[in-house]
Amino acid sequence: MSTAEWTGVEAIVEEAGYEPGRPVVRGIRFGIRPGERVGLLGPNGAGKSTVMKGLLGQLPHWKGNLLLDGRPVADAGPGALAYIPEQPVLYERLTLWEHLALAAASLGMPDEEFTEKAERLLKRFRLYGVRHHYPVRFSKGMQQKTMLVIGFLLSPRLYLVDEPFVGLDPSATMELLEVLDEERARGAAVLLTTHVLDAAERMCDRFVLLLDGRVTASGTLADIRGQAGCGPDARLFDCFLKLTERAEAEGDG
Amino acid sequence: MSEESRPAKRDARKAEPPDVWEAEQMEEEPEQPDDPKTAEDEEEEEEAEALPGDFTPAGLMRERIAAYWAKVLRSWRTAWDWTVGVYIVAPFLWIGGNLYAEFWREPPAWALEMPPAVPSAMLALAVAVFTAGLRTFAEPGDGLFLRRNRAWTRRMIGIGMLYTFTAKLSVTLIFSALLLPYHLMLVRWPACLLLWHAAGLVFGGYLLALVRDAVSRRWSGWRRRIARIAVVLIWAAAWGWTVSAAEGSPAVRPAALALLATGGAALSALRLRAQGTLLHEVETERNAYSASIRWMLVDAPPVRSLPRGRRPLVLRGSRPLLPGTAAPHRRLADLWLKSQIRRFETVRIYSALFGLGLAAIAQTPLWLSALVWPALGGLLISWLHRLVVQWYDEPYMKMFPWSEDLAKRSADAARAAAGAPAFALWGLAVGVKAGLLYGGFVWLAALAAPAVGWWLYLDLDGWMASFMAKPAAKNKKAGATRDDRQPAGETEV
Repeated sequence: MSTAEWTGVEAIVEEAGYEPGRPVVRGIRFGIRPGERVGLLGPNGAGKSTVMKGLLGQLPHWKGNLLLDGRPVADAGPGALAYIPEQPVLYERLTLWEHLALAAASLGMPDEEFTEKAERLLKRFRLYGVRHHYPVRFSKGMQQKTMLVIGFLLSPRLYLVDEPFVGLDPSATMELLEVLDEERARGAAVLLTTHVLDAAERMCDRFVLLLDGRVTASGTLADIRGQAGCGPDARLFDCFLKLTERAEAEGDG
Repeated sequence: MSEESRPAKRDARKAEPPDVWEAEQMEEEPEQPDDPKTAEDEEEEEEAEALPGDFTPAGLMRERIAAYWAKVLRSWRTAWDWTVGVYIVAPFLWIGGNLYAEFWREPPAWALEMPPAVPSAMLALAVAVFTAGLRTFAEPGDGLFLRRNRAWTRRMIGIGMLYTFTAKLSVTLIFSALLLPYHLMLVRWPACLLLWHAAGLVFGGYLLALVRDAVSRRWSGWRRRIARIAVVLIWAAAWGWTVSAAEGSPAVRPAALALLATGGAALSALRLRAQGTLLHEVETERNAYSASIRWMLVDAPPVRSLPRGRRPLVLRGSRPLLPGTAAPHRRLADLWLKSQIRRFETVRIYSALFGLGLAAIAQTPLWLSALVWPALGGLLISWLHRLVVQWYDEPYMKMFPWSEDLAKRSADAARAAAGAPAFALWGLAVGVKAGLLYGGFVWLAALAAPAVGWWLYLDLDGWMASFMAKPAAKNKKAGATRDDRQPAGETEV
């Protein structure tokens, strides 16, 4: 899908939760520019997955919107968004190649384009030799790579990536980072959640730190350092620890 | 590694500090939760014996067996209400009972001529099919602590063997009782022969369970499947031959029983010493539970097993099956069709429906066959449509945005590809029947029927599709707008 000259993404989460009247996340709004990568960070239970599910329209109780190029994502056409879940979602009786074929069919991708892209991505993630195998029989890491390949095959404007590094070996992580760089050059926006802060620091342009369902800090790494009261050389990990400790202390107080 | 370099490597290893050498040795040892007994284990066992209450291997097994049956009965209970009793079970028992009684009141000629070896082999087959393998009631959590205690593990597996033997005994008695009229009235077996026959089936069934257990641990994938089927068939044939020999020579009877009992005891002893069996046992337990409840959940899409092999057994190369898959709706239909062909359950139901349809057409008068034909088509379309709708309800399918038009066109193509051939063949059967009855030009009907059938099927399908549920209609779209108002207190990043 072409990403030429688009204005980016605006995510609005007014309220999101699993039970009526008991929102887990509320009052969050952030944007992602074309070619930008934003990391949604937070400790366990902060609401990262809830935000993701809400943006994907999977929550029963949700008020908000996800705008692509100023329009609701539902009106942005098929293939505007690709979601790469933390837990691989696969179909038992289709081979890896058929999983990709099915994803391509959802966008009406022409055969030649599909074959060229699928072969390139499978070779890149070293899955080409098992393309006629059942992915449900793969290891967790290979299943995760399968989900990444499916996501990249669709070439959307926006990627929602949930914990992309879980189960990936170092070379697959490198491949992922390289492909994400290429997608950035294409103009695709990425929103990712992760606990791997070192990787997030390397690959994200901006960060949104959630605590108890609210934004505690946000911005570039320099902004986060300032908000956390850390020095100019502080790592994201240190800032994260400081911000969470401060929030917990305030909560206790 | 070259031959020359091996001694050098060995020498280098010897020269290394002992801790490194030990570490390498440890890596080579199999990682199994049920390791050989150690001094610590011995101590643990003694402590375990002294635990208060019912916390013993026998007590734990009793709890697990009770919990298993409680779970199965609870599941069965969900499928039972008075309508099932009145409309399904009672008519089945009444009609089945009458048919059974009628069959034995006036047995057909083939039953009189059938040698006793045949029903015995069938009985052996039935006992093997209707009972699970070696049951140990193992749970995944056993690998954490329980399996480190060899004495407990052995005792629990021993109780599992006793359970398996009892299960074989119960099922054998039920099936033998059903076949009692044959043995008493037709072949007039004496009581001692009947008892020997039942004992042989029980001991043989138990031995078979142990052999199948060993086979399942030895192989995986299609090799395991073929080996398991082969073992059952060999057992059924061997038992049939033994029964035949035992009728003529009474000495065969104790010899056969001794052989089966000794074989069972020897394999039991070997099995008790086997290590690293936990994962296999857990899989057996999962399969046993699944087999107990599968019959009432055939319509529930999540109740499915993973494919056994790493690659599909059929259509292995991911190549398209249908022509014209450049069009997305044809590609989707092709993928659906392949996924269904690879599912044994779907193929089984399809074959059964097709076979029953042929039988219905063959057994009814011509005018009724002509009416049965479209009715069968309607049934087939309705079943295929349900499969397509279920497919669009799969979590993987829900990840993608399907336009209603694409989903509908692919569903139409899928039902046509899967159902039209069967419908055309039923048409051929109607045509052949008409040709056989009237001859002459009517044989042209036989030639025309498949083509007419194909056209009729597509017409019937189009008509039925107009009022059937739309596939993918329930799939949600990502990021669907719920409220565009900017809320107070929003955090902008």
